Amino acid sequence: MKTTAYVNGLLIDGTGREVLPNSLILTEGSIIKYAGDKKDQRLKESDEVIDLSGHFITPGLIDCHVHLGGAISDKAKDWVLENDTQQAIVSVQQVRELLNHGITTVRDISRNGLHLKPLIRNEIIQGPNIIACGPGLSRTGGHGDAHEVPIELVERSHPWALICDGPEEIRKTVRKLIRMNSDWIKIWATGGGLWEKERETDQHYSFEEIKTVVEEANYLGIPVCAHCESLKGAKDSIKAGVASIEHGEELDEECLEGMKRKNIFLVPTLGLFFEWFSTYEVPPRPELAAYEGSTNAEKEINRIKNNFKAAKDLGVRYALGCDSFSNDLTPFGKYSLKELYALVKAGCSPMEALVAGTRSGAELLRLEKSIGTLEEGKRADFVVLKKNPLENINNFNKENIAAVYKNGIRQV
Amino acid sequence: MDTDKTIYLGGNLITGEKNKIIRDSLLITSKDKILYAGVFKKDLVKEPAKRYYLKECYIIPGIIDCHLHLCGLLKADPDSWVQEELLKRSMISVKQAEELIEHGVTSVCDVSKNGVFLKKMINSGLIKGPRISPCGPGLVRTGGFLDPSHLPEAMNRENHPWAVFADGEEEIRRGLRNSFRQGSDHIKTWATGLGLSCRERDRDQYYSQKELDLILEEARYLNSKVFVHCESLYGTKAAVEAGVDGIIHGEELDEDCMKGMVSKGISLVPTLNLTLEWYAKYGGTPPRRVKRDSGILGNEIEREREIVKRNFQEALDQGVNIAMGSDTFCKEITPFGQFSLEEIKTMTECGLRPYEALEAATVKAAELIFPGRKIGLIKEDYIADFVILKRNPVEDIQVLEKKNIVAVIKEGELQAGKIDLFLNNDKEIMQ
Repeated sequence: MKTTAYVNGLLIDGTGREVLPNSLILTEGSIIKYAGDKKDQRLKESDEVIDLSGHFITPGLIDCHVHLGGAISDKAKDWVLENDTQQAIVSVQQVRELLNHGITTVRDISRNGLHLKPLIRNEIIQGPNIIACGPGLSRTGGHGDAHEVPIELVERSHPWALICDGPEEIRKTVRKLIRMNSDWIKIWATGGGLWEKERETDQHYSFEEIKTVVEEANYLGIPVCAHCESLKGAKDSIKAGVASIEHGEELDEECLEGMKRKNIFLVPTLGLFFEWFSTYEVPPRPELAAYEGSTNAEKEINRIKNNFKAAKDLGVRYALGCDSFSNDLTPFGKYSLKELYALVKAGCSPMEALVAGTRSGAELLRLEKSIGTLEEGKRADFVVLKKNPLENINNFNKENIAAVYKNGIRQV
Repeated sequence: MDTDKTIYLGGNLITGEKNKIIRDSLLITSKDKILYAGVFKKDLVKEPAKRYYLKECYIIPGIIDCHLHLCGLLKADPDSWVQEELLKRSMISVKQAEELIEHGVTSVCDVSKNGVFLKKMINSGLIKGPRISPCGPGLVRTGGFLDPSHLPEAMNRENHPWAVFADGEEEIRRGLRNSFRQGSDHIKTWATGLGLSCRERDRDQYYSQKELDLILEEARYLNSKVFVHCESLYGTKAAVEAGVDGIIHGEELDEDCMKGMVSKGISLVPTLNLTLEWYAKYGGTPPRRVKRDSGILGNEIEREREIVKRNFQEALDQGVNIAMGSDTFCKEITPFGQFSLEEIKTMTECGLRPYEALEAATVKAAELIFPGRKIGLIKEDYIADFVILKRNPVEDIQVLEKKNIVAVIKEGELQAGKIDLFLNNDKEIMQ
C-alpha cells in the first residue's frame, strides 16, 4: 500500500498538545503510521513526500449536530413543502460544502443522511463520514412538526423528523429507525421555539417516553441524543440516560453533576444561539432579568454563555455541533466553523475549541479509536491551513484551507 | 467599461454551421451571450476584458444530448430500476449531471423523475450540470418491459425512475398534465417495447393510434414536443402517423416511416451505440427482422448490427433529420458524458462525416429540444456554450474525449477544466 509523508507542517494533533513544528505525518493508505517529530529514519519509508512548510495541520473537524435535510429555506413549513427529490439533490451539495470547509465527520439527523452515508463510503459522491441518526423523534406539535401544514404532509415529508407519541409508538419508531440503519437515535425532549405553542421552555416528552427511547435503543447498543432546551426536559433526559444533551442552555447543578457522573456530553450549539434570536423570539425565562444586556436577546445570550461556562468549569464534556439545517440561514460548512468561533467567544481557548471539534467529537461518537486526533493508527483525516488557528480561531476559514484529506485521499 | 466581457483569441473556431472553421479566430462573450464570433479584428480585441489566448486549441459548440436518463442508476440490471431507493438515486443523479458537463455536454433532454429538480438546482447555481430540458418521467402502458411482472405492481408504479403508467384517455390526459405541473418541457412516451428483446414482433405496439393522437393533442396545448421510443415497426408507424417530433431508437423504419418523417419534420434520434452494440456488449438474442435480413452475412449479432446500420443509412439517404441522443441511463454500461461522446463517434462509423455528427449533436439537437432559442452554434447573439479542445474533432472525431478537453463553458461561465493557464494580456496577441 502506498505510503505518503507530509513533512515540515506545524502539527496540531487534536489531543490538546501544543503545536509541533517540523512535523512528519506518515500515512499508509488511509491510516496514519506515524505522527510526530520529523525523523529521517521514518521519512525513508515513504513513496511520496508532500512538503507542508509554513502550513498548520489539524485533524479533520467533527460536527456532531447537522441536518442534511436538503432544506434551502429557514421556514418550518418549507422544510415539509420543498420537494423530497429536490432536498435529496441539495443534500449532495450540503455534504460537499462541509468537506470544503474541513469537516470530515458529522453526526446527522435527517432522512437523507441514511442514504448519503453509504454513497459517501463507497466514494460515489464526496462528503464527510456520516454517523446517521435518520430522522429524529418529535411529539405531535413538537419541534419536528410544522403546524402550518397538514399533519399528513409532515408525516410523509418532514426532512428530519418522525412524529410519534406514547411509549408504544416510540418503541415502534425506534425499531423502524434501526431497521433503516440508524447509528444513533435523536429525540426532541423539549420544544425549540418555532412558534408560540412550541417554546424552548416547554417539556415535550414525558420521562417514561424518553426512558422508552433509551431502553429500546440501548438494547442494540445504540446511543441517544436529546434536544433539551428546558431544565426539566434536560433533567428527565439525563435521568433516562441519554448519551448527549443537544443545546442544553438551561442546566442546573444537579444536571451538570449527573452529566459528569454519567459521562453525558453537552453539544452547546452556541453559534446558533448567537444568531437565533434575530429570526426567532426570545423564550420567556423568568430569570432573564438577572442578566446584563439592553435587549432580551442580549440577556438570553449572556445567560446561555454563563450556563455553558458553568458546565465547562465543572468538567462536563462538550463537543462541537453547529445545527446547520438550511442553506439560507445556516450555510453548511461555514456554520460549523462559526461554532468554533462561538466556542471561543463563550470562553474557550482556541485549543479548547479545536479539541471540542476534533477529539471530543470523536469520543462522543465512540470513534476515538479511529478519528479525532492525528496519532498512530488513526485514519488520515486532516486539514491543512495557511494560518495558525491557535493564534486566532478565525484563521480556520475556507480561504485559509489549503487542503482537506479524508482517509488519506485529498478531497479539497 | 464592460467588465463582463471575455475574449478568447487565437483558437480554431468550429462554429457548428456546416464544416466552417475559422483559424486564428476571435470569440467575445458578455455574461451568458456571444457578442462576436469570427475572424480576428484588431479594434475589438483592445476593449477592456479578460483575455484567453487559445492558439492551437479548437472551440466547438457545447454538446447537446437529446435523450438520456438522469435517474441515478448505477447498474444496468432492470430489476434495480425499480428496487433501488428513489432518494438515493436522486443523490447519485447530482454526480451524473456533473459528469456530463465535465465531458463537454452542456445541454440535455432528460427523461427521469430527477430532471425537473436538477434543472432548478443547476439554474440556481447550487450544483453543476448541463442545461436540462426535462420530460419528467415518460408515459407508458401497464405491462411491458418497464413493468416487470415478477415484481410487485405497486413497487413498479411508485419507484420507476423514468416512467409513469397511464392507460386510456383519462389517465393519459392526467399523466401529461401532471408531468407539466411538475415542470416538464417536453413529453416522452413509449410506442413500442424493446424491439431489442427477442420477443417483440413487428406488430406489437404499446399504445393505440388514438392514445398516441391524444398525447400529441395534450402536448400541443402547451406547445411541447413529443419524443417517442420506437423499436418495432407498427408502433413506429403509429407514432409517425400521430406526428410526433422525435423518434427515439427507430432501428426498424420502412419507407413509409421515413417518408412520413421527412414530410412531417420528424427527427430521428438513433441511439446507435445501443442499437448497434446491444447484443455484442450486453447479451441476449437479436430479434428476427424480416425486412432486411436477406443477403447479409455473418452470425446473428453481426447481421443485426448490419441491419441497424443499413436502416440508419437509408434514413440518411431519404433525408431524415438526425439528432444525437445517447440514451445514457446507468453508470455501469453507459458512463455519463463519455457515452454521449461515443455516440457521436459511432454516428461517423455509420455514414455521417465528423462535422455532420457534430451538427447532429449541437445545432440540430438544439432545434429539436430548444426550438426558437439561440443555442447550439458559436455565433453572434447565441448563448455562450462551448468546449475548448486540444485537438481537431472535425479532422479526427476520436479526439472527442475528456482528456482532450481544456475547458467547458456554459452561459459564459467555466464549468469544468482549467483555463487560467491561457490567461494572456500581452500586447503581441492583440496585434
